Amino acid sequence: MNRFAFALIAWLTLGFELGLRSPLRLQVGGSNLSPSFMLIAATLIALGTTPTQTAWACLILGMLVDLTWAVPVEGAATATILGPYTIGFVLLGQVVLAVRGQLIRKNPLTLAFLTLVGGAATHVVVAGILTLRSFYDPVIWDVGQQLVERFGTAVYTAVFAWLVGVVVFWFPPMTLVVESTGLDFTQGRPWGRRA
Amino acid sequence: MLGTLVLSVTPIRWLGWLGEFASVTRTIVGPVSHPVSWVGRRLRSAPFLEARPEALVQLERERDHYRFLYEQQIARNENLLRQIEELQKGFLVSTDQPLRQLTVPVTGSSSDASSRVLIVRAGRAQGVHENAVAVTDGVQLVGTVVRADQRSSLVKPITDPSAGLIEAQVMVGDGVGIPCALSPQHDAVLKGPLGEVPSGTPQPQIGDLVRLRDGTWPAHAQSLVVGAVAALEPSKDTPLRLIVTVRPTVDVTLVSEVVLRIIDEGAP
Repeated sequence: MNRFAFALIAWLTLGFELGLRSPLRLQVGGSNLSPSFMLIAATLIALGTTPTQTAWACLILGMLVDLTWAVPVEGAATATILGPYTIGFVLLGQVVLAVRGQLIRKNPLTLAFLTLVGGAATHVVVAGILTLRSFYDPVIWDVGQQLVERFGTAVYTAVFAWLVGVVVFWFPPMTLVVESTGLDFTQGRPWGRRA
Repeated sequence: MLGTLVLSVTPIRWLGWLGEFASVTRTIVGPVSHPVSWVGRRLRSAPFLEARPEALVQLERERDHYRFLYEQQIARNENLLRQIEELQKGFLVSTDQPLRQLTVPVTGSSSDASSRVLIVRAGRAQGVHENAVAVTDGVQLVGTVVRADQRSSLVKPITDPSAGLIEAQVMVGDGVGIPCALSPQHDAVLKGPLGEVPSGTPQPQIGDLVRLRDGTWPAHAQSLVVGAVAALEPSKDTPLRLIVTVRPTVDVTLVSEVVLRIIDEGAP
């Protein structure tokens, strides 16, 4: 994948992430659900690049999410933590790499399903690290509430991933634009087997 | 990757230096997040669907503003009386500090849903400082600045679950209020026990305004509107006491701009 194109995609997607988190928030019971465009971008990139590029791309996207997360801590302050989303996104990349050979890559449902699975894996990692931190750091963290919200968020994000997939895979001009960045969605061999 | 693993479990007190990188990231992404946020917040609040005359909206704002000034004067009188008493006892009292109001756009929010922090496009370069109070619609309290960087700041809304307890008064009559202690809930409301209603005082009703009366907040923020009473129910532990649920008059996480009330250090 072209590095300049990746930087542009990361910049735009992070802008959408920060700009639309609140406006797209859904109140379901006591839980707040909002979609994550960075998860969709990471899944899309992992679907169409080499394993090395996937690892680097997910690492950078995860770092950007970590840096823009104002972690609530006791008192009026917030904190910045580097790691939870970075590790989570790298795991997401590995999950997508492991199963993408079994799925039809150029299908919106594939993008939605992998975003759901990868997003759930990412949030489990984030919840795990923050729960561990809550034993020695003043983070305000209710693990039960967070897990419910985060699985809801993964489902909500998957719905948006399907919409993004429809635009990217079913509108030829958009497909051309996306593929011009170096992403390749042609079908690979199942489990990477040799021909 | 190993470094990330180590950083992910490093105690927060050793990660303060990451704040500068976070600030730079927010500044770089601002040109994208601001227009996207503006469009999203406008569509979500959808003022064009309400079809209310602009003149009526303006008059309501002016009414709310003058009521706020009136309530604030009452609070100020009470404060002055207390200061007189303290002066008579020989204590030193602080004088009023000069205040400046700065209208700033909201360019986004935190990247994780666990935090409802708002990013605003003004920072130390514009005189913004931590604990500056953010309001909208002239009198609706939004929250406080929890981090001021060079070009951007973070505002923690009063409805953020980590925002902490707020002491306020349910206004039941002309300058008459019943104290309550409100804590933010996960569903964007504040909830807490209502103080004892003195005899002869009207009972609180749904829709009554709730105003800030909290000594931990700056004097200029007293009497700002926290919200309106959305529900009143008996306490489960002590049925004779009421639990009040307060909802801000606007969704404070969806505002597209806020007014920051800044203490002007450079003023004479």
